Amino acid sequence: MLFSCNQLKPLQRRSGTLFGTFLILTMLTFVAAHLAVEHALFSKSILHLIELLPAIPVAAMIFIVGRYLRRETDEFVRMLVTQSLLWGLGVTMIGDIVFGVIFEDGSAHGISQIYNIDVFCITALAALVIQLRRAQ
Amino acid sequence: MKNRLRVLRAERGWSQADLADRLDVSRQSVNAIETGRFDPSLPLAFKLARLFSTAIEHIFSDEP
Repeated sequence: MLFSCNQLKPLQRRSGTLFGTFLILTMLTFVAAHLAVEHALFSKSILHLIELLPAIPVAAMIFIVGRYLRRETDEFVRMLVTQSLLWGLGVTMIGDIVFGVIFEDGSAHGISQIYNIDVFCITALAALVIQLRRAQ
Repeated sequence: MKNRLRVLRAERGWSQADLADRLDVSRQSVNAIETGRFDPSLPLAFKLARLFSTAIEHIFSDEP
């Protein structure tokens, strides 16, 4: 069986929970920023500040992953996680280019940022599951 | 890189999970090393050598 929740080490479980929490926060702040800009709810300077808000949970997620990789003692798992993150990053960058071409007029500005996080997380998770399955 | 990990483990009657516990790594790590899909770092190789009370070169060889 793949790494079930019972097999996870406390560090993995804690990092996963924190990452998931900040992922949800990222999505919420992205949606809130998008809605605030779209409906012009505040003055321009405040809207700029609101647009910057999603950077905080994203920075937190990067910090959590970095700290996890630093503390993970199993070098094979560390390698799998790193490879999965690279898959996520690669697919996200390609997806962003494709998205940019499809919505050349910039009509999807803001929305594409939300999709970036989704694509990154789903791809990285799928890559990790596939690699763990191959390692059985 | 080839290794005799599976043989050494079998001689002691350990499962992959037993060896993983002794090394403080995942069972997947042990499996990946045994099948040659993953070469361990020097610290882990030394840990293996200490565990099996042998030299690193008796576990790992760079022969094709």
